[in-house]
Amino acid sequence: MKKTLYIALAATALLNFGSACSDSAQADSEKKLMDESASGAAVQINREVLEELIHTLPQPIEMADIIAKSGMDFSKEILVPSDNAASYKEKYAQSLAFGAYGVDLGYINLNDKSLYALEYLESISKLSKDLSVDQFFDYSTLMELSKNKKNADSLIAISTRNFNQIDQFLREKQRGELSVLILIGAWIEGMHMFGEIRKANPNQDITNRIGEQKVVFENIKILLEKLSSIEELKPMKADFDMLGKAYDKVGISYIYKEPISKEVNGELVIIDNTETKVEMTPADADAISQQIETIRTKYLLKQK
Amino acid sequence: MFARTLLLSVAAATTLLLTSSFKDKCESDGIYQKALTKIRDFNLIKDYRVYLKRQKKADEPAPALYFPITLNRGEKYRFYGLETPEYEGKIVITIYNNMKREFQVATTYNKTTKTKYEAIEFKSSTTGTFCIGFTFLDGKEGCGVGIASFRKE
Repeated sequence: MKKTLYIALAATALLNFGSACSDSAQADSEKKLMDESASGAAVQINREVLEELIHTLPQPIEMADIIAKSGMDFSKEILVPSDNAASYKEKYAQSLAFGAYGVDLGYINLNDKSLYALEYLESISKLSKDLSVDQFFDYSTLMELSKNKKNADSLIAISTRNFNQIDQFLREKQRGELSVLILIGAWIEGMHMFGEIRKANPNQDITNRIGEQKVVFENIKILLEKLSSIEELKPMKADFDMLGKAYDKVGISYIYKEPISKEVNGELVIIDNTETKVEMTPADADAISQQIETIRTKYLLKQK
Repeated sequence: MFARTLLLSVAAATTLLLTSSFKDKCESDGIYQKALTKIRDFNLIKDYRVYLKRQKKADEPAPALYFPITLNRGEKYRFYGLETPEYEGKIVITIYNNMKREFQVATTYNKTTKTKYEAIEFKSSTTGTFCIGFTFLDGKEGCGVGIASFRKE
């Protein structure tokens, strides 16, 4: 059984490499990434399991969207400073920061604050070069779009597409651990912002929002377990284990109810009626937010 | 834990093998661009490129691809599917309550009325991991794109 599985996985890997079609810039980046793999910089993890779990992590734009819709006034102070980009020295820190900046850029764009978009685009562009994925990051177009407030929608659409292409590329090139870290970075930044919203306006809704993220945290925990063979990521796993202790106190239960379906202008509209019960206290939310701040400070702020 | 890992590995390897010749046979970039223009008041989250072979036997389930997706409470999502004209298959998107696919919460194909919709708009009342499934109507061979998007404010 095991042998069959290994043969299947090997065949899959070969088929995927065989079908790659590269232009020269992409070929250079692929070479860099493959050289790192060969030199042992990349640790081979079970790609298929990772593929499955990675789909459960929210994209930077989704985290930014929930925050932008919360009604909190825009605050640049809650973002990772854009000039931190130069301080991330190795791939894992760069990947985490890349995801966090993705949320920050989304938050800026969704709040129509295009005057700040340029500096965050520069940070993302710098990191995309460090990560050898800059061929997917359409910096010049995005920079042009950022000059006009009316282009926020296009900015969001193109930057999201670029993030998706980078995610796909890294996974295809056996650097899925970088994709995972990008999404973890985005999640940390999003969770930090939830904490800021709660500080400004403590209410049950935002407390529940923090608790509900246990669903995502559980998948991050499994992913970090799988990545723990990478020596550099062991401290991060320990930090997330501490976060797990805070999340252990949160209980989530669902009561499934039949959704309502209706046709509106020839399109199908479904309203989910499932009820979620989140059991947690304000102190539990405080503990989660405190540990998120510890993680964010360590990996996104104190790199210099 | 090992059993789960093994199961996920086999499922994902099968998925990849089923779609292994995808890049050679299914050119979906053109319809991807077209699909993006159809999401209108929604922002792109991610796209799914889908190629599936024809169903071999009538009594077997139609080939399908499944992906987990985390949806958030209070958000309105739009799932849009478009297929290339080179293949017969018409893409069907189905959302299930979880990865075990215990029950279906939405689909672009109504079996009773035999109506196929291009898109589903879904308002989620929970934050949780759902499952998004893609198949082609009547198990025909098909090539298409699925788009997951969320509503702009």
